[in-house]
Amino acid sequence: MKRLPLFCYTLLAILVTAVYLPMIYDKVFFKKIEKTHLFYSPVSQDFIFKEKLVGPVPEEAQGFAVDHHTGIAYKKADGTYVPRIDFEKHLPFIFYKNMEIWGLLPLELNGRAFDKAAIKADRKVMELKSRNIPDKAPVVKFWPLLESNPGQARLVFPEDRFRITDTAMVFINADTNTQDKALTEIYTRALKDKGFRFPARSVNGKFTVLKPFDEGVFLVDADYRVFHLKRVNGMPQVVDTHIPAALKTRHIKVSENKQKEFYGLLLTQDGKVNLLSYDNYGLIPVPIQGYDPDRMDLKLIFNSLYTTAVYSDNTIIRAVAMDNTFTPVRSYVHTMSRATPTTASKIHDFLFPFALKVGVRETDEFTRVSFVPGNWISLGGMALCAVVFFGISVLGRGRRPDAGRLALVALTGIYGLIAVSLVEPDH
Amino acid sequence: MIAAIFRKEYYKIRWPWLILLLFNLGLMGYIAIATRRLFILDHPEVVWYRVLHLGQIHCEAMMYAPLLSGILIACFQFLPEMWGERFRLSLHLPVSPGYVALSHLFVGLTAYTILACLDLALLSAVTARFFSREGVMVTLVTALPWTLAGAAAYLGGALTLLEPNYRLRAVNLMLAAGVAGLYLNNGMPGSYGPSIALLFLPLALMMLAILLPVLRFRYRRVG
Repeated sequence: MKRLPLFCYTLLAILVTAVYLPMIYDKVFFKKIEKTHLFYSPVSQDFIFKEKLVGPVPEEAQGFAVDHHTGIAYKKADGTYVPRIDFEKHLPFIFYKNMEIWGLLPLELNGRAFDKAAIKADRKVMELKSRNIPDKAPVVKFWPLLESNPGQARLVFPEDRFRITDTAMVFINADTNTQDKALTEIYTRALKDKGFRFPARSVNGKFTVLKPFDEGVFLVDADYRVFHLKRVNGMPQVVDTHIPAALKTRHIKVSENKQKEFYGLLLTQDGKVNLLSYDNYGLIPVPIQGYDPDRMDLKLIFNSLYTTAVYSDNTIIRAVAMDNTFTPVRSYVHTMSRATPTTASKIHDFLFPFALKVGVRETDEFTRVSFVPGNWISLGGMALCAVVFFGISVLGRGRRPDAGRLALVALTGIYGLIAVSLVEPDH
Repeated sequence: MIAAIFRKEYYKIRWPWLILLLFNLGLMGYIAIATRRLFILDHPEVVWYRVLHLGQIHCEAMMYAPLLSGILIACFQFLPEMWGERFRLSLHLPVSPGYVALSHLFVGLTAYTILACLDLALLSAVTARFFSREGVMVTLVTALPWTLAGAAAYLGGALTLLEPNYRLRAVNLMLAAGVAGLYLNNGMPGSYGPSIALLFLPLALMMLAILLPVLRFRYRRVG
């Protein structure tokens, strides 16, 4: 009768301290360091990046690191630090407004001249963050289907939203909060006529009116076939894209862009990324090695000469520069400064043998309970806690602690030491 | 004997509980009015976009209400028991102290659960009036952790109030605050979905851990 409550109390104390002690320590001693900004320079034809330095600023970077903000460094892939203005001059397609102010436009690169209009016409960015993949976020599966031909400059939300059930595409009117049977019938019939098999595996679109135009949604059916559905003048326009079902499309990040070159990025079940072309829904594979969509964020930066794929997890950032045919010309791997061990991180590892995190992670929008194990440094902290507990018991109480409690402290470190100390006075 | 304890607890907390019930009903009424006002001020499709897509929480006013209910029920139930150590009388009944304590907790948890279920049911009804079933579902998954925070507050209140040692009482208060805090993270609406089942574990531990101060109170020692 007494053992069970004692066990539950001790376990509860361990769980609560394992959540809050590391969290408080992190809040006091760690700053959130954003990821490194990595680019391919068409000027030097090599990579260049901007990052917040963790720890002391290297001597050779000191003059430059404080150029704009303390601790921010601008560094080339060959290891040389540059001032901020030089950094921007290496990236004229990104900082073209400064190039214009500094009188450097039009500029000539690879035998071609680029003025402001030419630069603007070709530049765009596509992004696929791990946490934004719909199956990694609490997305409400109830979407608007915008009118793609609104007959005016501004897009507006329709007065209905749809869900995909096992048998139909069901529209619910927002004014009455009831099913619109006519629309449901029309759209379900249109999809079935094109061979769509319910239910949908995913519904992919950019569900906002803050975009230049609307390209509708891409529906992945039960057989992994991809259909393009638009609402044109209120009526369905369905196209079977003939994207191979064998690819098992996981997600399409739709990104309407005035260039009308790509609908967006198509992610397959095996983690491969393709550009989805306006040209008959053709797929262009993005040649990125070691990309894991569940851990990494991906950004594609387009300009007139190159496309750069930049992808990163929490510690390592990689990039591949490609020419206009998406053939890799150069790649680069860099361990970000945010991964540098500091005194605070070593003390953290020593103090905490593990941590329980309750909350969202960098790669996920769900509130999850995650177990974060320590490393070999943590073994020292665990041993020290066991010794302290043994010492307190022998010196303070004149007897050895029982083996079970000692083992608990040895395994759970500071959490176990606190927990057994809380119930000790009664023994 | 257990039935007598139930009766005693019922008579002890019924009036304060009714006041809490009225407070909760009033709060749900306020949420209904506030939600309706959202639809008066803007087009329904825009409100749907803000709530179902951008993550605006239309029932945010409810967030800390279960926490308050849990704390107050624990106070109504156990403050009088600890006044002059009256709880000692119950613990000397010819029933195991564990059963006595669990019977008290059963009554308190039932009282709290009725309030929490009523809150969730009314919230569902209000939400279903204005939103589709997806809206109801995401609202429930958002509000359920708040009600678990209330249960943690009740159990934490009991853990704190029943502890005879003042130092441990402070520790138990921190443990209770820590457990309740687990359910009040600011994530996207519905973000607790995959973790809710796992987050019942601290509540189960807490319920059994309460027996420790009870036994300490009864026997002045444990182990």
